[in-house]
Amino acid sequence: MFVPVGNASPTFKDSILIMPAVSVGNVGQLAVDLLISSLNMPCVGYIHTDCLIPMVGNDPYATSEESSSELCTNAEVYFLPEKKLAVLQIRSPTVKSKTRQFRHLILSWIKSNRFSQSILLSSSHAYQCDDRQLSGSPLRYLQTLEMKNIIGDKLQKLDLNELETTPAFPGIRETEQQLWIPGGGITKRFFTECSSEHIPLAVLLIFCSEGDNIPEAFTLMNFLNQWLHLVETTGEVESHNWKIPCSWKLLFGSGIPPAIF
Amino acid sequence: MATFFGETVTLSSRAVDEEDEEEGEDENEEDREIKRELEKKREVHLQWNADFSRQFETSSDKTLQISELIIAVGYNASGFLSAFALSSGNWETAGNISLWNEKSRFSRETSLEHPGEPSCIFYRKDENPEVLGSIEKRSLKVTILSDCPVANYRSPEYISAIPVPFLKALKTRTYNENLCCSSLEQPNVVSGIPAAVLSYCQVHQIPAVLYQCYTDVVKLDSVTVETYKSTLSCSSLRKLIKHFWSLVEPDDYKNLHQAALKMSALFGSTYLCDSAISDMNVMKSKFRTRLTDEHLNDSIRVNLSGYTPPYTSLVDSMQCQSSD
Repeated sequence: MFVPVGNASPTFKDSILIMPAVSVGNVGQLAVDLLISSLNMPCVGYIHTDCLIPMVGNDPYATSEESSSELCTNAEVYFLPEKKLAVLQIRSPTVKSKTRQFRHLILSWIKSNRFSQSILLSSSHAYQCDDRQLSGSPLRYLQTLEMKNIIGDKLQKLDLNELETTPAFPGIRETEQQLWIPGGGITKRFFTECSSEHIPLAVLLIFCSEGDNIPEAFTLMNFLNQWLHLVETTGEVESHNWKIPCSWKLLFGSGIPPAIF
Repeated sequence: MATFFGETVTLSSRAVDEEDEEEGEDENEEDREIKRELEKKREVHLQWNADFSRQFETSSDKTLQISELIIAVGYNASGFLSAFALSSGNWETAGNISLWNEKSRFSRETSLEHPGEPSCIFYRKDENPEVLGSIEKRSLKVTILSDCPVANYRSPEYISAIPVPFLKALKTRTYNENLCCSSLEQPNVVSGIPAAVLSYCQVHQIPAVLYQCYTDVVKLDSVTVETYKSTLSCSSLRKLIKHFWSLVEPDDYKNLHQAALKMSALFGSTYLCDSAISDMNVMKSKFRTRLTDEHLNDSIRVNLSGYTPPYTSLVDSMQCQSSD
């Protein structure tokens, strides 16, 4: 459940919520890290639940000595009231037997706070792409009916393709088409549950493989910025002013032994 | 994904497990029943011993008033607490936690502690009612000691160049005391029981501190246990250690050790001895020729005790003149 920092609970009504799905390459989480770090968003509350594996650390967005000893937990909510932007960052995987409980928890939290739009950032295994998906942009979107009523076909106008459905039994021509997001974590089921609960949700996903997924995070954020105009862009080539958080260092292990040189 | 030899393998991901996709919806009643049984078996049971259960029942809001909670996670952390805290002063077991999961080798019914199996016991100190096990949140302070393999530590320097074992600290927002060692640098994180406890304390604004010892020896090791000694300067642990200097090796801080022991053996004045001897002189006057050593001992004992006879009630119980 949501526990605010301090005693006052912030009002999220009519704000946009951006949240990641723990998915292949952790792209959604990296993208959300970029967003929080670049906009210097303050933490306004915690999602305190036993559905996520516990994890703590010092402030991942610290810019100075004093702030670097602020504790942070595995699921926190950041909010900028002036931009009406709320961001939920999830830093650890869900406990296996509690994914359904977790989806319901987030869903009921979104419903009770009456966010105007919710956006789920996610990713999917690139090796499962079919022929149509291999060429062109690796970005795809999904939107519920309510979201479509709010934004219309804005995403299509930005040259984004909707995620194609795949046949339930590949190879057989006349089977039903279904949504399939391999490596997407809770994405598919969350999307179907939001559709049935009439929540305005858009899913932005990118096809990728595991490795250094920072470029994919940038791609995802650049597109989101094109849509929502969160951060200023400078120049013709659209270089964005993204700030890399200090927790992104040493992603591939500690320092190198000097003896190998 | 296809490999060189033409076989297809499923790629594993660091973020998601493919099995997560096939969850729940296709279960039938039998599967659900099996799941329920398994969940019941895996429940964590907390048992308090008789004294404590009574205290819980008699308290007004079914809670125990505690001010300090100290948790040790791992062989070395619990070894340190056993050696330095539990061995000085009187500690009694207050309760224990029993649990079972698929990795346990013994069933829950056997309540003995098995070496190598995870177990959790609560202790309480007699003199200060500071229980290792608390329910009351107000004015509570939590200290956690935990072991961690140094392989999990990320640093811009090469790990083998850092002297091991070493301590790093994490604290909640409401914890105001000074830390006994440096703070855990980004991007390192802590998971498991210490993380769960610290998250709870951060969310509920309870002052808590975690001292994590990064060590290259996973089992109980004296060098690692000694690394925890620097946490003794934090107030929660300092209170528990009465005779701290008698626990320190004489060779470690030789001069300081000797000076501290001499100071603790000093007393302020000889007044008490002198007044006792004066009282004895009054008792053993030259007129008391029939006073034996035993009588003298007993008289001195009565004199030195703080007991005053209730003269009024004794006198009232006696009849001065009885009529026959």
